[in-house]
Amino acid sequence: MNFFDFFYRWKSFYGVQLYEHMKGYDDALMDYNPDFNQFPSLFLWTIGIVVAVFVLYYYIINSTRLVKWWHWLISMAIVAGLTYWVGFRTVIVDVNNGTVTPSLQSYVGYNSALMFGIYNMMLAMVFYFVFTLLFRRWSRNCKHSPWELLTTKLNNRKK
Amino acid sequence: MMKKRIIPLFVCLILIGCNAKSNRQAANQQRANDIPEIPMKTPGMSYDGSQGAVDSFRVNVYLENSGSMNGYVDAGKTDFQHNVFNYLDDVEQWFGSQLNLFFINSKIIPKGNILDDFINKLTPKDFKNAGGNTSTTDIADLFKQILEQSNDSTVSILISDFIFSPGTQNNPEAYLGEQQVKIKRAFEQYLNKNSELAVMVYQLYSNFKGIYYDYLNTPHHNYEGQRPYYIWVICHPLKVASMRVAIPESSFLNRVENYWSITSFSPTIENYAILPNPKKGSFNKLGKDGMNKMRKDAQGEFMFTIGANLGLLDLLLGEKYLLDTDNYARIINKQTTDEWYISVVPNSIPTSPATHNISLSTKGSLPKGDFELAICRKKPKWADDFTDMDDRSLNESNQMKTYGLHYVFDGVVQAYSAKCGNYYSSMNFKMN
Repeated sequence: MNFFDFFYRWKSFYGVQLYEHMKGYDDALMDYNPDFNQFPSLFLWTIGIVVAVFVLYYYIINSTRLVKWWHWLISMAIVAGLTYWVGFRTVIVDVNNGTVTPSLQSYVGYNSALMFGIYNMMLAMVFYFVFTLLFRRWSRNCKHSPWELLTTKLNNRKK
Repeated sequence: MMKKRIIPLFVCLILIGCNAKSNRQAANQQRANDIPEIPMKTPGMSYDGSQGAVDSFRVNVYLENSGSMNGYVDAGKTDFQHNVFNYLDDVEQWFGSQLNLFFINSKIIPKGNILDDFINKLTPKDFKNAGGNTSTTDIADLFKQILEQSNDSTVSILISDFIFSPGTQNNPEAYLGEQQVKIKRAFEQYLNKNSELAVMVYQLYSNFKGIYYDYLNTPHHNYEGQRPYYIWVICHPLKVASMRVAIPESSFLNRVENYWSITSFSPTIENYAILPNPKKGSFNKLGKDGMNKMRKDAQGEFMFTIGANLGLLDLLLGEKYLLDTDNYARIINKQTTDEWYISVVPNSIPTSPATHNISLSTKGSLPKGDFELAICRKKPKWADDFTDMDDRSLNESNQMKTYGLHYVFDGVVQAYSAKCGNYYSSMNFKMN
């Protein structure tokens, strides 16, 4: 299992056969074709969306008017929506184009695309949350969104 | 400053994403134009069925002419004559020259090269007038005589009802056992001199009218019904493959009831792999031939499927042989086991190089170590099914059977097993 596959390892959530497809299983080789592995690109898209929205919210817009917890929640919803769409679309395009290898075709369809979109969305939300915990402190105006930084809270108590 | 960093990041992501997507589409487009061929060629062997594949060799046809064969011939009016004539004509066309035709019983009797005279105009009287001992059939002796006339460049075709004639022997079963040993010895002696030999057998049926001789050699007059007969082709494995391509079973006038083949040639199965589907339980694939983290499903069953290119074995042994699960041995850490059930189906995926999908399942403990799946040299199941041990009265239950048939096959298989091993080929897997 390589680095990118690791993030999609809970395959029972969206289907073992879809995992095989995304990893690049090819009937012609009876093995995985590394050129067909879609996990790296999908992961980079997902993490890219997370980074982009995070940077946009905390460092580019960086507005004093957008510091409520639900502002942060809206930014997370944007991440969720976009990454769901990326995950769903990746699969459904393959289904519609008939590029799923024949032995997996009967297992990969709309439902698995739906579940894969949800999986990708949840993965992105986890990353967004972790990014928020780790990297918001350097934001000038939004560092206390969605909640006050722990260090600030401790300093206020000392005072 | 921040904006300047973000823009290149987005551009990189878009390029990587688009590239991975287009790879599969482009490859699939390429594949649609270039469907992979099944690798059927073996170095030094050519069996495409073309005239070019047939180098200098001779085809000897032996028609057994004992009294029990009389009912099969009637001046070209029987299915036997139509079918054998048609088959030999196909062989002649494939061979590209005239065949050497013989009657065979206690001796080989040359009958020239004119196919029409040899089989189509044949009557029971011709059989009798040909000479030799036509009162009984010593099948082991038939093989001995034929194999003594054979070498790598000979194709021998034996046509007979393959009914043993113990005659007045006190113990017919002992006679059959003795015949089996003699058949084994005849093939062993040939395989000692020539390492390559293949045998293919067609079982067919014909209308039969005349005297039927039972195993005690008692004549039953005016028997009329369907009776089996057999065409045995004995030659180099290359020729068997070539003939199978050139003269498929579908070209026979009457349906080939059963087919069987055995060969000294042991082709290596190079292209096989554990497939992701179908399966029961779960496992992690490690390359093409390994797996770990095996888990049974909720019903306590574990199953995995192998895709294998058995194209060459399919050509030599026939589809029916490869689909018979009795012809596979499961060997775990060098110990044969029956705990794994097998099912074999043809692979229907056009893009796959696999010709067969072999599923292996168990409810027993999951082993670790080496797992070997071997294709065995075995007699066909139908040899037992169509063996009759008492043909004094022919009725619906035994008229389609042949007295002592499996002893012939047992003798041949024993010789091959002794000289070439019990397995044609095997596929090896690692279970960790």
